[in-house]
Amino acid sequence: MIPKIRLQGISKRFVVGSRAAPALEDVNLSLNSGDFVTLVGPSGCGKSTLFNILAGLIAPDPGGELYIDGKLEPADHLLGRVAFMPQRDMLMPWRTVLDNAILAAEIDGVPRAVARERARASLDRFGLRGFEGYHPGQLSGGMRQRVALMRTFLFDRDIMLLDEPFGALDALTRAMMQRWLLEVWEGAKRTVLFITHDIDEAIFLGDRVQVMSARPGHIKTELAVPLPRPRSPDVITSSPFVELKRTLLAAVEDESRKAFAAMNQHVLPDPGEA
Amino acid sequence: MPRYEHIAGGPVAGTAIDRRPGGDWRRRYSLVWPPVLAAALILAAWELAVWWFKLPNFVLPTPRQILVVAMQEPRQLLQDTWATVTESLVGYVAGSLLGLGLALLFVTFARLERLALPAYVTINSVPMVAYGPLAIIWLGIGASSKIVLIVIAVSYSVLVNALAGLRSCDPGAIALLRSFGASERTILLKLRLPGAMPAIFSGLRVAVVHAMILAVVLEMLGARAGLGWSVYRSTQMMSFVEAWVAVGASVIVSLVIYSIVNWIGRKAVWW
Amino acid sequence: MATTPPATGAVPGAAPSTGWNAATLLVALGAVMLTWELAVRLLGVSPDKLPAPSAVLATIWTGRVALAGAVGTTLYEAVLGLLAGITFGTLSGIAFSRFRLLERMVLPYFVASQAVPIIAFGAIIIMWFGNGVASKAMIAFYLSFFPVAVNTLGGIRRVSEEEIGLLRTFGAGTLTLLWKLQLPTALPSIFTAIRLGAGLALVGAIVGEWFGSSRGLGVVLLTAMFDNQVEQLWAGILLTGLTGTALFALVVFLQKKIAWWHAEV
Repeated sequence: MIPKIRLQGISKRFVVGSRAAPALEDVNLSLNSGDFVTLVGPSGCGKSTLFNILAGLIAPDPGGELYIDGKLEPADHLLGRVAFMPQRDMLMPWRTVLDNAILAAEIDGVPRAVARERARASLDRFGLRGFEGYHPGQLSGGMRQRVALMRTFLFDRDIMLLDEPFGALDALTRAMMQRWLLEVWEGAKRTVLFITHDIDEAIFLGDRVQVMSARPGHIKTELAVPLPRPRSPDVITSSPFVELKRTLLAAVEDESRKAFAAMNQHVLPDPGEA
Repeated sequence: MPRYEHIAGGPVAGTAIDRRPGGDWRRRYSLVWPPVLAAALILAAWELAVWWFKLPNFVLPTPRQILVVAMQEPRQLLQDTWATVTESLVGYVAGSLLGLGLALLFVTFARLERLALPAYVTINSVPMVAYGPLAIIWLGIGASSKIVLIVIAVSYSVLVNALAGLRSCDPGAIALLRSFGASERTILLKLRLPGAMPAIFSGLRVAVVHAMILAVVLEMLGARAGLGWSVYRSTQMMSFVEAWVAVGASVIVSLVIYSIVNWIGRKAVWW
Repeated sequence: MATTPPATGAVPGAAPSTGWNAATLLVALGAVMLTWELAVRLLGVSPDKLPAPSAVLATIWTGRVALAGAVGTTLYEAVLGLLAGITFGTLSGIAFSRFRLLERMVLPYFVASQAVPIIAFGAIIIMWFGNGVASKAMIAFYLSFFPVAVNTLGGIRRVSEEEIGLLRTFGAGTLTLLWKLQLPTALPSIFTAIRLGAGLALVGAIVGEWFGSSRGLGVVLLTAMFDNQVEQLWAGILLTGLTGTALFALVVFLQKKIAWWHAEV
C-alpha cells in the first residue's frame, strides 16, 4: 500500500546571525491512509517546525523529499493541501461560532450558504448545538478548541495536522476531548498526525507513536499501539497500556534530559551531533 | 528557495533581517535615508513644478523665494517666533503643573474630584479654539488670552492621562503596601506616581503639540505678534510669500519642539 | 517612533475613561449650567462679561434658524473632511503595511504633519481653494487622516504571523488575508482614531471658517467677537460643544455596532 504521507530525509536549518540553528535533521516518517499517528518529543525538538513544513509554511532544506499519495511534492505546492490546526485556536472574535467553523472552507472556495449548511449538520457531533450564534469571547477554552477542530474538519482534506490542540485544557476537559476526538475521527477517517507532550494522550489516541529526539530533531523511535479500537477510557490503566507507557517514558526521558542539558549550557548543539 | 521563510513556527525562528551583524548602524541608517531622500525629492519637485507650470507667487512660491523674503525682515520673523514660542511654553509648563497637581489632589480627595471633575470635563468638551473669541473679549489681544486657554487645554490633557495612570495601579500591590502599614500618601508617592510616569509622559508629549497649535491658531483672532498672527495678517494683505514664510517658520519650530520633547520623553521613560 | 496621541485631551467629548458617555456628559452639563445660573444671579455678575445661561438659551432660541444653519454647515464640512480622512487614512495604512519602503519614506512626514499648526496648512488651503466648503473640508481631512493611517497600520501589524500562516494553509491569497483578517483586526484601532479624528475635523472646519466664510459656527463665534455680543458668543460656544459631543457620540455608537469585539488597545 502506498503511504498517504512519506517524508524522507527532511532537514531544516535556521540561520540566526552568523550561526546555524538546526531544527530538524533527517526526519523520516511514513503514514498510511486512515492512520492516527501521534508525535512526542522534548520541548524545542522541532515538532512545530515539522508541522509548518508539512503545512507548506516553511520549505525544508534541499535534499529532503515529501511524498503525498506516492507523488513527490515540491515545497511550494503544499499550501492548502492539509488541514492544519495550530496550538492556539485563533478564532476570529468578530465571527460567530458558525462562521468561524466555516472559515477554512469559505477561503477554499465553498459558497457560504453551502458551508454553513455543512457546519450546521456537524454542530451536534462537535457539541456546539445552540452555540452557533455565539462569539468566541463568550466561550470556554474547551469549546473554542472544539470550534477550531470543527474548522479543521470542515476543511475537506484527507490529511490533518493537530499541534497539541488540548495542551491548554485542564486534565478533565482534556480526557473528555480525547475520547470525543476519537469518536469524530472514526466517523470521518482522515489521516491524522497529532503532536503532544502528554504520553498518556499519545498512546491513548494513536495507532503508532513516533518519538522525536532532542534538537536537531529526527525520529528516534516508533512504537506501535496494538490496543483495539474503539478505546475505552479505562484502557489507560490496563497492563498493555502501562507496558507501552513504560517503554515510551524511557525513550522520551532520555531525549528530554539531552534537551534540558543543551538549554542549560546556552549553547546550540553542533550540527554534527545527533 | 523558500518563499515562506519569514513564516517560521516554533522557537527557532531566526531569519529576521534586523539581526544581521552590525545591525544597529545599518538599521539606523536605513531609517534615516528614506525620509531624507523623500525630502530632497519633494524640494526638487517643488522647484521644478513652479518653474515648469510657471506658477505665480500667490499659488506657490519656490523654496528659494520663501528664503529670500524671510531674510528680508529677520527681526520681525524672530519677534513673531519668540512671541509664539513663549506663549506656548508658558502655557505648557503652567498647564502641566496644574494638571498634575489636580490629578494628585483628585486621587487623594475623592469628594473634590466628584465636585470639580464634571465641570472640568464639560468645559473641555468644547474644542478649546471655540473659546478663543471669548478669551479675546475677556483678556484682550495680548499674550494672556492665549496662555490661559493653553493652560486649560494642557492641564486637562495631562490631568486625564495622569488620573488614568495613577488609577491603573495593581490593586494587589496597593494591598501589599497597606499591609506594611503604609499611609495613603506614601502609597501615592511611592507606588502610584512612579507607575503613572509612562502615562503622564505620554500626556505631556501630546500636550506640547497641542500647546503650539493652539498658540498659533488663537493668534489668528487677534494678537500683537506671533507666527499665527503673521500668517493671518499676510493672507489678509495678500502678501502671500510672507504668509509662506510664517508658515514655514511655524512648521520648523513645531518640528524642533516636537523632536526635543520626544527625545526627552524617550530618555525619561525608558522602560 | 511617534504614536497617535491618545484620544484624550483637547478633543471635544473626550472624557476620563471612568464611564463617561454622552448621557453622563449631559447631566454634568446640566449641573454646570445650574451652578452657573445661580452664581450669576446671586453674585450679580455683569451680563456683558458673563451672561446667565437663561439669557444664552434665549439667544439660541431667537436665533435658532440661523444657528441651525450654522451648525449644519460646519457639521457638513467636518463630516465631509472626516470621511475623506478615514478613506485616505485607511488606504494609506494598508499601503504602509504592504510596502515597508513607502512607510519609511512617508510616515515620518505624516507624523511631522501633525505637529504642524493647522493654521499653516489652513492658510495655504484657503489660498488655493478659496472660501467655499471644500477648503474647510480639506482642513478637516488633513487633521483626521493621520491618526487613522497610523492606527490602521498599527492594527494591521497586530495580526500575528501565526494567524497569517493559518489562513495561508487554507489557501488564502493577499486580498483574502487583507479583507478577512487584517482589516477586521484593525477595526477597533481604526475606530479609536476616528474618535480622535472627529474632534479634530470639527476644529479644522471652525478654524477654516475664520479665514473667511459667511456661514458656520466659526463665523458665529468670530462675528460675535467683533460685535462684542457675549450672549451670542456663549451661544456659539455651547452649540460647538454640543455638536462635538454629538459627533463623538455618533462615532462611539457606530463603533459599538461595527467593531464591538474587545481588542487590546
